[in-house]
Amino acid sequence: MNAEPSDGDLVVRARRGDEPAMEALAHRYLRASYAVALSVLRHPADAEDVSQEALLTALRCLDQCRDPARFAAWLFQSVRHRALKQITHRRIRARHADEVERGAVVEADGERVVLRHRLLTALELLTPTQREVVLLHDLEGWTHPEIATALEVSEVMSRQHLFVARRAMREHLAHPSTEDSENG
Amino acid sequence: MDDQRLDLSSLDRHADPARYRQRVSALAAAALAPAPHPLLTQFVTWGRVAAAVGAVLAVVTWAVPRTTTPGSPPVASSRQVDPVFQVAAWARAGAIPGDANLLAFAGVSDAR
Repeated sequence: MNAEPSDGDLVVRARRGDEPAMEALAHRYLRASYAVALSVLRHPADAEDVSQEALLTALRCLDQCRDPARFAAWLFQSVRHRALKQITHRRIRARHADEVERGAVVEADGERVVLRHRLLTALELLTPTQREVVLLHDLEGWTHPEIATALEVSEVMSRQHLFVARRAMREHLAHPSTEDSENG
Repeated sequence: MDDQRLDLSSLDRHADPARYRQRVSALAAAALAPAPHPLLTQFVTWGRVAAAVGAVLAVVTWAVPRTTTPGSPPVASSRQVDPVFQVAAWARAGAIPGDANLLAFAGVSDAR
Protein backbone atom coordinates (compact mmCIF):
# COMPACT_ATOMS: atom_id res chain seq x y z
CA MET A 1 0.00 0.00 0.00
CA ASN A 2 3.10 2.22 0.18
CA ALA A 3 3.01 3.27 -3.47
CA GLU A 4 -0.65 4.16 -3.30
CA PRO A 5 -1.72 7.73 -2.61
CA SER A 6 -2.85 8.51 0.90
CA ASP A 7 -6.47 9.13 1.81
CA GLY A 8 -5.64 12.77 2.34
CA ASP A 9 -4.26 13.16 -1.18
CA LEU A 10 -7.21 11.35 -2.72
CA VAL A 11 -9.75 13.42 -0.82
CA VAL A 12 -8.07 16.67 -1.85
CA ARG A 13 -8.02 15.59 -5.50
CA ALA A 14 -11.57 14.23 -5.39
CA ARG A 15 -12.81 17.54 -3.98
CA ARG A 16 -11.58 19.17 -7.18
CA GLY A 17 -13.68 16.73 -9.20
CA ASP A 18 -10.89 14.32 -10.08
CA GLU A 19 -12.76 11.18 -11.17
CA PRO A 20 -9.88 8.69 -10.78
CA ALA A 21 -9.36 9.93 -7.21
CA MET A 22 -13.06 9.56 -6.51
CA GLU A 23 -12.98 6.05 -7.93
CA ALA A 24 -9.89 5.17 -5.91
CA LEU A 25 -11.63 6.23 -2.70
CA ALA A 26 -14.72 4.24 -3.62
CA HIS A 27 -12.60 1.22 -4.49
CA ARG A 28 -10.70 1.46 -1.24
CA TYR A 29 -13.70 1.90 1.03
CA LEU A 30 -16.78 0.24 -0.46
CA ARG A 31 -15.91 -3.17 0.96
CA ALA A 32 -14.78 -1.74 4.28
CA SER A 33 -17.97 0.30 4.59
CA TYR A 34 -19.90 -2.88 4.00
CA ALA A 35 -18.00 -4.59 6.81
CA VAL A 36 -18.77 -1.74 9.20
CA ALA A 37 -22.45 -1.69 8.20
CA LEU A 38 -22.62 -5.46 8.57
CA SER A 39 -21.13 -5.22 12.04
CA VAL A 40 -24.08 -3.06 13.06
CA LEU A 41 -26.90 -4.59 11.02
CA ARG A 42 -25.87 -8.27 10.80
CA HIS A 43 -27.88 -8.44 7.60
CA PRO A 44 -25.79 -8.64 4.41
CA ALA A 45 -28.32 -7.22 1.96
CA ASP A 46 -29.19 -4.25 4.15
CA ALA A 47 -25.52 -3.72 4.99
CA GLU A 48 -24.74 -3.53 1.29
CA ASP A 49 -27.43 -0.90 0.71
CA VAL A 50 -26.42 1.18 3.71
CA SER A 51 -22.71 1.06 2.86
CA GLN A 52 -23.34 2.22 -0.70
CA GLU A 53 -25.62 5.05 0.37
CA ALA A 54 -23.19 6.20 3.05
CA LEU A 55 -20.21 6.10 0.73
CA LEU A 56 -22.05 7.94 -2.01
CA THR A 57 -23.13 10.66 0.41
CA ALA A 58 -19.62 10.93 1.81
CA LEU A 59 -18.11 11.28 -1.66
CA ARG A 60 -20.64 13.97 -2.52
CA CYS A 61 -19.95 15.86 0.70
CA LEU A 62 -16.17 15.64 0.82
CA ASP A 63 -16.00 19.33 1.70
CA GLN A 64 -17.49 18.45 5.07
CA CYS A 65 -14.60 16.12 5.90
CA ARG A 66 -12.56 18.41 8.14
CA ASP A 67 -9.44 16.25 8.20
CA PRO A 68 -8.90 14.48 4.85
CA ALA A 69 -6.28 12.21 6.42
CA ARG A 70 -9.00 10.86 8.71
CA PHE A 71 -11.42 10.16 5.87
CA ALA A 72 -11.90 6.52 6.92
CA ALA A 73 -12.91 7.41 10.48
CA TRP A 74 -15.29 10.09 9.18
CA LEU A 75 -16.82 7.73 6.65
CA PHE A 76 -17.24 4.87 9.13
CA GLN A 77 -18.97 7.19 11.57
CA SER A 78 -21.48 8.00 8.87
CA VAL A 79 -21.93 4.32 8.00
CA ARG A 80 -22.60 3.44 11.65
CA HIS A 81 -25.07 6.28 11.98
CA ARG A 82 -27.00 5.19 8.91
CA ALA A 83 -26.97 1.57 9.98
CA LEU A 84 -28.35 2.45 13.41
CA LYS A 85 -31.07 4.53 11.81
CA GLN A 86 -31.91 1.57 9.62
CA ILE A 87 -32.29 -0.65 12.67
CA THR A 88 -34.63 1.81 14.31
CA HIS A 89 -36.82 2.07 11.26
CA ARG A 90 -37.00 -1.48 10.08
CA ARG A 91 -36.42 -3.62 13.16
CA ILE A 92 -33.75 -5.58 11.40
CA ARG A 93 -33.31 -8.15 14.14
CA ALA A 94 -36.79 -9.53 13.66
CA ARG A 95 -36.12 -10.09 10.00
CA HIS A 96 -32.94 -12.15 10.22
CA ALA A 97 -34.86 -15.33 9.61
CA ASP A 98 -36.44 -13.91 6.47
CA GLU A 99 -33.22 -13.40 4.60
CA VAL A 100 -33.53 -16.43 2.39
CA GLU A 101 -37.15 -15.74 1.52
CA ARG A 102 -36.35 -12.13 0.67
CA GLY A 103 -34.00 -13.41 -2.00
CA ALA A 104 -31.07 -11.28 -0.85
CA VAL A 105 -28.74 -13.73 -2.55
CA VAL A 106 -29.91 -16.50 -4.80
CA GLU A 107 -27.90 -19.52 -3.86
CA ALA A 108 -28.24 -23.15 -4.68
CA ASP A 109 -25.84 -24.07 -1.90
CA GLY A 110 -27.96 -24.49 1.22
CA GLU A 111 -24.93 -25.15 3.40
CA ARG A 112 -23.55 -21.76 2.60
CA VAL A 113 -26.80 -20.14 3.72
CA VAL A 114 -26.73 -22.11 6.94
CA LEU A 115 -23.12 -21.14 7.57
CA ARG A 116 -23.91 -17.50 6.91
CA HIS A 117 -26.77 -17.61 9.37
CA ARG A 118 -24.52 -19.16 12.01
CA LEU A 119 -21.83 -16.55 11.41
CA LEU A 120 -24.36 -13.74 11.74
CA THR A 121 -25.65 -15.26 14.96
CA ALA A 122 -22.11 -15.58 16.25
CA LEU A 123 -21.45 -11.93 15.43
CA GLU A 124 -24.26 -10.96 17.77
CA LEU A 125 -22.18 -12.25 20.67
CA LEU A 126 -19.53 -9.60 20.07
CA THR A 127 -19.31 -5.94 20.94
CA PRO A 128 -19.68 -3.46 18.05
CA THR A 129 -15.94 -2.76 17.96
CA GLN A 130 -15.07 -6.46 18.03
CA ARG A 131 -17.42 -7.02 15.12
CA GLU A 132 -15.86 -4.23 13.11
CA VAL A 133 -12.35 -5.49 13.79
CA VAL A 134 -13.06 -9.11 12.93
CA LEU A 135 -14.94 -8.20 9.75
CA LEU A 136 -12.36 -5.70 8.56
CA HIS A 137 -9.53 -8.11 9.29
CA ASP A 138 -10.89 -11.51 8.36
CA LEU A 139 -13.40 -10.53 5.69
CA GLU A 140 -11.75 -7.52 4.09
CA GLY A 141 -8.13 -8.39 4.78
CA TRP A 142 -7.18 -5.13 6.50
CA THR A 143 -4.05 -5.01 8.64
CA HIS A 144 -4.03 -3.96 12.27
CA PRO A 145 -2.36 -0.60 11.55
CA GLU A 146 -5.08 0.15 8.98
CA ILE A 147 -7.84 -0.89 11.36
CA ALA A 148 -6.31 1.09 14.21
CA THR A 149 -6.26 4.26 12.09
CA ALA A 150 -9.77 3.87 10.76
CA LEU A 151 -11.39 2.90 14.05
CA GLU A 152 -9.21 5.26 16.08
CA VAL A 153 -8.01 2.57 18.49
CA SER A 154 -4.48 1.38 19.23
CA GLU A 155 -2.98 -1.52 17.31
CA VAL A 156 -2.75 -3.46 20.54
CA MET A 157 -6.47 -2.99 21.12
CA SER A 158 -7.18 -4.01 17.55
CA ARG A 159 -5.26 -7.26 18.06
CA GLN A 160 -6.97 -7.82 21.39
CA HIS A 161 -10.42 -7.29 19.88
CA LEU A 162 -9.63 -9.70 17.06
CA PHE A 163 -8.39 -12.34 19.45
CA VAL A 164 -11.47 -12.17 21.66
CA ALA A 165 -13.83 -12.01 18.70
CA ARG A 166 -12.32 -15.01 16.96
CA ARG A 167 -12.36 -17.07 20.13
CA ALA A 168 -16.02 -16.26 20.84
CA MET A 169 -17.06 -16.96 17.27
CA ARG A 170 -15.14 -20.24 17.04
CA GLU A 171 -16.68 -21.38 20.28
CA HIS A 172 -20.14 -20.55 19.01
CA LEU A 173 -19.55 -22.20 15.64
CA ALA A 174 -18.21 -25.34 17.32
CA HIS A 175 -21.15 -25.56 19.71
CA PRO A 176 -24.15 -23.90 18.15
CA SER A 177 -27.04 -23.32 20.51
CA THR A 178 -30.30 -25.24 20.13
CA GLU A 179 -32.06 -22.14 18.79
CA ASP A 180 -29.33 -21.67 16.23
CA SER A 181 -29.61 -25.26 15.05
CA GLU A 182 -33.37 -24.96 14.75
CA ASN A 183 -33.10 -21.79 12.71
CA GLY A 184 -30.35 -23.19 10.57
CA MET B 1 -2.13 -15.05 19.64
CA ASP B 2 -4.62 -16.71 17.32
CA ASP B 3 -3.40 -16.18 13.76
CA GLN B 4 -5.92 -18.38 12.00
CA ARG B 5 -8.44 -16.32 10.05
CA LEU B 6 -12.11 -17.09 10.33
CA ASP B 7 -13.70 -18.07 7.05
CA LEU B 8 -16.23 -15.28 6.58
CA SER B 9 -16.50 -15.68 2.83
CA SER B 10 -20.19 -16.60 3.06
CA LEU B 11 -20.79 -13.02 4.24
CA ASP B 12 -18.93 -11.57 1.27
CA ARG B 13 -21.19 -9.57 -1.03
CA HIS B 14 -18.34 -8.41 -3.24
CA ALA B 15 -16.75 -11.69 -4.19
CA ASP B 16 -16.95 -11.03 -7.92
CA PRO B 17 -14.12 -8.57 -8.80
CA ALA B 18 -15.70 -7.49 -12.11
CA ARG B 19 -19.01 -6.70 -10.41
CA TYR B 20 -17.16 -4.85 -7.66
CA ARG B 21 -15.27 -2.68 -10.15
CA GLN B 22 -18.53 -1.94 -11.91
CA ARG B 23 -20.14 -0.83 -8.66
CA VAL B 24 -17.17 1.32 -7.77
CA SER B 25 -17.28 3.06 -11.15
CA ALA B 26 -21.02 3.62 -10.87
CA LEU B 27 -20.59 5.02 -7.38
CA ALA B 28 -17.82 7.41 -8.42
CA ALA B 29 -19.85 8.56 -11.41
CA ALA B 30 -22.92 9.10 -9.24
CA ALA B 31 -20.84 11.07 -6.74
CA LEU B 32 -19.62 13.38 -9.49
CA ALA B 33 -23.03 13.82 -11.07
CA PRO B 34 -24.79 17.00 -10.00
CA ALA B 35 -26.96 16.30 -6.97
CA PRO B 36 -30.52 17.64 -6.89
CA HIS B 37 -30.68 21.17 -5.54
CA PRO B 38 -31.22 21.08 -1.77
CA LEU B 39 -34.00 23.66 -2.01
CA LEU B 40 -35.85 21.48 -4.50
CA THR B 41 -35.41 18.45 -2.25
CA GLN B 42 -36.77 20.43 0.70
CA PHE B 43 -39.70 21.61 -1.38
CA VAL B 44 -40.56 18.07 -2.44
CA THR B 45 -40.26 16.78 1.13
CA TRP B 46 -42.37 19.52 2.71
CA GLY B 47 -44.76 19.53 -0.24
CA ARG B 48 -45.67 15.95 0.55
CA VAL B 49 -46.28 16.80 4.21
CA ALA B 50 -48.40 19.80 3.23
CA ALA B 51 -50.44 17.68 0.83
CA ALA B 52 -51.04 15.08 3.55
CA VAL B 53 -52.12 17.72 6.07
CA GLY B 54 -54.40 19.32 3.44
CA ALA B 55 -56.01 15.95 2.71
CA VAL B 56 -56.70 15.35 6.41
CA LEU B 57 -58.20 18.84 6.81
CA ALA B 58 -60.39 18.32 3.76
CA VAL B 59 -61.71 15.03 5.14
CA VAL B 60 -62.39 16.59 8.55
CA THR B 61 -64.12 19.59 6.98
CA TRP B 62 -66.29 17.25 4.95
CA ALA B 63 -67.07 14.81 7.76
CA VAL B 64 -67.79 17.06 10.74
CA PRO B 65 -71.04 18.65 9.45
CA ARG B 66 -72.38 15.20 8.57
CA THR B 67 -71.89 13.88 12.07
CA THR B 68 -74.02 16.62 13.68
CA THR B 69 -77.46 15.21 14.50
CA PRO B 70 -80.53 17.05 13.28
CA GLY B 71 -83.32 17.87 15.71
CA SER B 72 -83.27 20.46 18.42
CA PRO B 73 -80.80 23.22 17.76
CA PRO B 74 -77.50 22.15 19.21
CA VAL B 75 -76.10 24.49 21.79
CA ALA B 76 -72.42 24.94 22.10
CA SER B 77 -70.05 27.63 23.08
CA SER B 78 -68.05 29.40 20.42
CA ARG B 79 -64.90 27.91 21.91
CA GLN B 80 -66.00 24.36 21.12
CA VAL B 81 -67.63 24.66 17.66
CA ASP B 82 -66.69 26.57 14.57
CA PRO B 83 -69.36 29.29 13.99
CA VAL B 84 -69.80 28.23 10.37
CA PHE B 85 -70.61 24.66 11.34
CA GLN B 86 -72.91 25.76 14.13
CA VAL B 87 -74.98 28.07 11.95
CA ALA B 88 -75.01 25.48 9.15
CA ALA B 89 -76.31 22.86 11.57
CA TRP B 90 -79.14 25.13 12.67
CA ALA B 91 -79.97 25.93 9.06
CA ARG B 92 -80.02 22.24 8.04
CA ALA B 93 -82.21 21.32 11.00
CA GLY B 94 -84.58 24.15 10.07
CA ALA B 95 -84.52 25.27 13.66
CA ILE B 96 -84.52 28.82 14.86
CA PRO B 97 -82.16 29.21 17.76
CA GLY B 98 -83.51 30.84 20.86
CA ASP B 99 -82.03 33.90 22.49
CA ALA B 100 -80.31 31.83 25.12
CA ASN B 101 -78.71 29.68 22.43
CA LEU B 102 -77.51 32.69 20.51
CA LEU B 103 -76.10 34.31 23.64
CA ALA B 104 -74.40 31.09 24.65
CA PHE B 105 -73.06 30.71 21.14
CA ALA B 106 -71.78 34.27 21.10
CA GLY B 107 -69.99 33.60 24.33
CA VAL B 108 -71.90 36.20 26.33
CA SER B 109 -72.09 33.88 29.27
CA ASP B 110 -68.28 33.80 29.33
CA ALA B 111 -68.20 37.53 29.79
CA ARG B 112 -70.00 37.31 33.10
